[in-house]
Amino acid sequence: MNKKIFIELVKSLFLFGGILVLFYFGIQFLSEDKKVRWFASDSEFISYEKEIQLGDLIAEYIIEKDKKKRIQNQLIDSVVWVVSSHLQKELNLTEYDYKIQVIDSPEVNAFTLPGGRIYVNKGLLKFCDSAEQLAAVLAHEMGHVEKRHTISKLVKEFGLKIVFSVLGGDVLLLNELWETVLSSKFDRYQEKEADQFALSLLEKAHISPTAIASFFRKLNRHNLDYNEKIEFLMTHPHNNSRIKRSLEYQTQKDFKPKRINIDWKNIKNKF
Amino acid sequence: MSAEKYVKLPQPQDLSEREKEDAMGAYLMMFAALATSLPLPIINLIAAIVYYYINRKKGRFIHFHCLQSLLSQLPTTLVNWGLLFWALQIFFFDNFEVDDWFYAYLGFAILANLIYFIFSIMAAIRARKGIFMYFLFFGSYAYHRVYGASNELNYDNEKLQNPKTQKVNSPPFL
Amino acid sequence: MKLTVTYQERYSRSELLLRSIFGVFYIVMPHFFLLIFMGIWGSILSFIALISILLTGRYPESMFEYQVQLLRWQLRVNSRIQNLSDGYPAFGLNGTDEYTSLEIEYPERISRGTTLLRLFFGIFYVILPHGFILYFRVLWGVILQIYAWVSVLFSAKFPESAHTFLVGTLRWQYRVNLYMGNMTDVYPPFSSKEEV
Repeated sequence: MNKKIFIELVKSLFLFGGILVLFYFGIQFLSEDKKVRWFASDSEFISYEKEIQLGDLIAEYIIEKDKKKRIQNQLIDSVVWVVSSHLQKELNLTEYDYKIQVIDSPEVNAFTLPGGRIYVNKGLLKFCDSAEQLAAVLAHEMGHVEKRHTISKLVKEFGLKIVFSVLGGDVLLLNELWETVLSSKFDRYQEKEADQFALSLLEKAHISPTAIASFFRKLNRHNLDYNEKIEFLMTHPHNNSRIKRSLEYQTQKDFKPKRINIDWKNIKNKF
Repeated sequence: MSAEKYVKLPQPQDLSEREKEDAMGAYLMMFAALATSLPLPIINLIAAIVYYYINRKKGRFIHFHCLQSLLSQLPTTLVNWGLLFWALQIFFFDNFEVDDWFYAYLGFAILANLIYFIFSIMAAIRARKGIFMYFLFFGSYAYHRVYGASNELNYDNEKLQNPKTQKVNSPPFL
Repeated sequence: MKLTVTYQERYSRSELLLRSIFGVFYIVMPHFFLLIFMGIWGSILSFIALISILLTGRYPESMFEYQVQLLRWQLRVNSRIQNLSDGYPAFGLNGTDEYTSLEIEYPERISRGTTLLRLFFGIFYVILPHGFILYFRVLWGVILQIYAWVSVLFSAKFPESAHTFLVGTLRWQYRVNLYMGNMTDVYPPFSSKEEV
């Protein structure tokens, strides 16, 4: 081929390659925070106090109207307390006073109310193979709380007016809010944020971050083998990339994972 | 360095209306996907290939523009296919994540399509007037291929080069 | 536009029966298979021609010729499907036919304004009025075809009035297609006659 043509080819490759790299650095300049803020701005209109108040209202509704039975079992309560305290003591600067309760339901599911209330089904406790897996689920749900995903979801779906009217005493819409909390999915950015939070929290609590991967892997296997749609998977999609993220998470050099001091197998038999 | 001889370039007044129109048509093949209502990146490429093979023998001017249009369509189609594949992997198959490189590639693909579109329209208008417009690299290469002395294609609007030595028959096997 | 399908003094009964029973296999399938691809290319060229008209005010001549050749091919096949002519329709864009002919004059200029009008409002002022009448013509044409079929079978003669009507319907359809395909600026007349 003519030398001049070859030079032109090289010029054009450099030009377009350069444009691509320029775009990359341009995007880097728009930092991650700025990008994610576009999706997470709705919750800023509700104060923490109002969010906690809303969570309390929905919690009352769950127990009184929806008749969700809280399990009041000393063993289960103490197991959950031990696991969650491992995490909570590493939580700095939180606005929330976490209340983790176990619901008497065989479904493998956990859900978060606005304001720091986390509900875990008995089915999920039984599903976990270790206390570390339960810690991974709780850390993930705490991530949704700390990043205000649930309240953001509610404001997006119902609008501020309805949320404020519920806070003002309009209890008719509580059912709608509750249904949304229970069934709707978080988007991939929210899942990513919650995961990143969970991975970092697990590391601080000296729990191996790969517990997230092992939990989701087990969910995937169970979902395929038994063909029952696991609720937790329904509300927490985008699994493959999340498993990958958990396995690729780089802990600090001096990180040494410790097992939580619970004989999980023995306790599971007693559930 | 051996200097390749090139056939003399025609001027606008040397070209017929038909040639100019057919040359313009080559660049308008990028709208073929719209014509078929299928927004797949490959339709434009197929249309450009078909147009090239149908029209290239009509004249050098047409051949040049058909070739330039086809060659410039190739990287655009590849970029679009890359974007489609990456987007499916992220949003449908869940194997990758949206990261900065994806945003960069998305921006790059939009820009590439925009550049291709603008330059093709400009080239189409100039071809209609009988004016040559050379794209970066593709223009030079197309000129070399079509107007180079090594081009042995016989054009309908030119006298047959060396009719006595024209090769018609060849053996059934090499 | 000049569309003619020659009226034969005598029609072949054996060909009629052959077409009726096996026509789908030896006429329709091979021709339609090719016409589908040619038609796709034709619609792409038609779209390109639309852009070209909006840019330059002219329908590119080579694309126009392609469309005319395609229409001629379709006419050859249609005339056999409707039993208007005997013989086998020639393949290819350059095929010739002793019984059918289609001549369309190349328009030097196509109005951009009329093209835009056709694009956005053609359905209201062309498709609806002509389509309404053509719908009934086609229905009546089906009945005439059955009548002509029986007539050819028994007397080897195609009723001339039926032939004129069926060819007239084809002519009318082609005129509407030409106008909507931006190949002419002459509004299609509400008539099936050759001379309007």
